[in-house]
Amino acid sequence: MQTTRGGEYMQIRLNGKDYPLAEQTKTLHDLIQQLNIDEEVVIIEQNHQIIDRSRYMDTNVQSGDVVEIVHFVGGG
Amino acid sequence: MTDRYSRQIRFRPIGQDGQDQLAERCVVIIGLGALGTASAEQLVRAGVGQVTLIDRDYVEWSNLQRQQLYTERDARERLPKAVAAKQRLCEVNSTVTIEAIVEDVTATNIERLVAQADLIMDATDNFAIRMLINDVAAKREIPWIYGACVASYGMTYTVLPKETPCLHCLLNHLPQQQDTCDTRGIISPAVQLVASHQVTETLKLLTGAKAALRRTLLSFDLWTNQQSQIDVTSLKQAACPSCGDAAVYPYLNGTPLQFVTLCGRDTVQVRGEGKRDLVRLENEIRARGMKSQRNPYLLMFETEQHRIVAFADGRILIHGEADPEQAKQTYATYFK
Ligand SMILES: [Zn+2]
Repeated sequence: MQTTRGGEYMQIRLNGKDYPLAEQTKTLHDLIQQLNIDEEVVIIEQNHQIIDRSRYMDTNVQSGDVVEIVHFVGGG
Repeated sequence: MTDRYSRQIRFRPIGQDGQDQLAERCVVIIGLGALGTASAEQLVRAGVGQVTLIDRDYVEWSNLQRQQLYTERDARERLPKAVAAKQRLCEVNSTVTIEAIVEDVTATNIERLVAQADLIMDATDNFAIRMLINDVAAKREIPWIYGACVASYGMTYTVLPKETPCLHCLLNHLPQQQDTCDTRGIISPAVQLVASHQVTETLKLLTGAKAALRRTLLSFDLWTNQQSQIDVTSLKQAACPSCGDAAVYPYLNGTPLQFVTLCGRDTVQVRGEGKRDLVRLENEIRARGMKSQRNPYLLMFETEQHRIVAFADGRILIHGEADPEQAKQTYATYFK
């Protein structure tokens, strides 16, 4: 999936792997929606800074960002 | 016998000193599914002095794919997991003191169950019980290690009392559980990797090698080849209800529900009113013209819609029922 924003190829580093950003993925909220992860069990670090859960909606994702996402699961 | 731990002692960070310390320690493992059996076997082989095994369930055929201590015979006999696990582990290492407890861990009994623990190993399958473990661990200042997995994904986190953020700091509230091993499946390597992380952290803690602890929240997906580690130190909340300065341990002090739907299992668990006389129950069931199967720990019988398992400790599982209200009626039919 080739994704561009203003003609620029959009890609982040997600959990140690390159990850192409879709056109509509503007914020961390969009990103975890796209990943189909439940927002209330997630911890996100963006460029080595943990982002508060209340700020996912208004935190933009930029090309080149290094993002780590850990989500809690219950099984065992 | 003296050779048993030679390779582990030769591993410099443990050595004879570490081995001696392991022999003095007690680990309480809560949950004996895939994670619990994997870490129990490693800890018992490693020579941890005392291992307490707690589980409320019995062995079923679908467990055998990944729950490494159980055999077909255990499933046929519907042995409680704690009992079957203990039998196998005693064969593996008879020098370890192993205690098997067939009980549902609740706010009422958890303080007693972990009283001797130097460390609590989380091998449970839901968030509610982990919040309870988190509370008791904070209150009694016992380190505990979160471990969980689903599909090919696994995660783990080591909680140190008065030091790291606790689970409540990280999650704020009790989340709804969406993915379970019953709905999304699980592959054994994911289990083994989580358990390996948990056991390694345990070995470090029990041998006093705190400097070697990982100190991150860790997750991985073995199928998509992703992994992630986050340093969550900054998330420790001074006002956390579970580990903060004025902690109230909300999960430990809450009242347990009587009828609980087990996540993703189409089963309602009923917490009973104390111990149950299984022989008497068997007679009652037979008097109704129904068949039952009994061992020293539980009695099982089937109705037209449900499979019902009654445990000697008073609990009841109503399989084939997800609605607590319906379960109440079924319960009233056979147990009142
Ligand atoms: Zn806390």
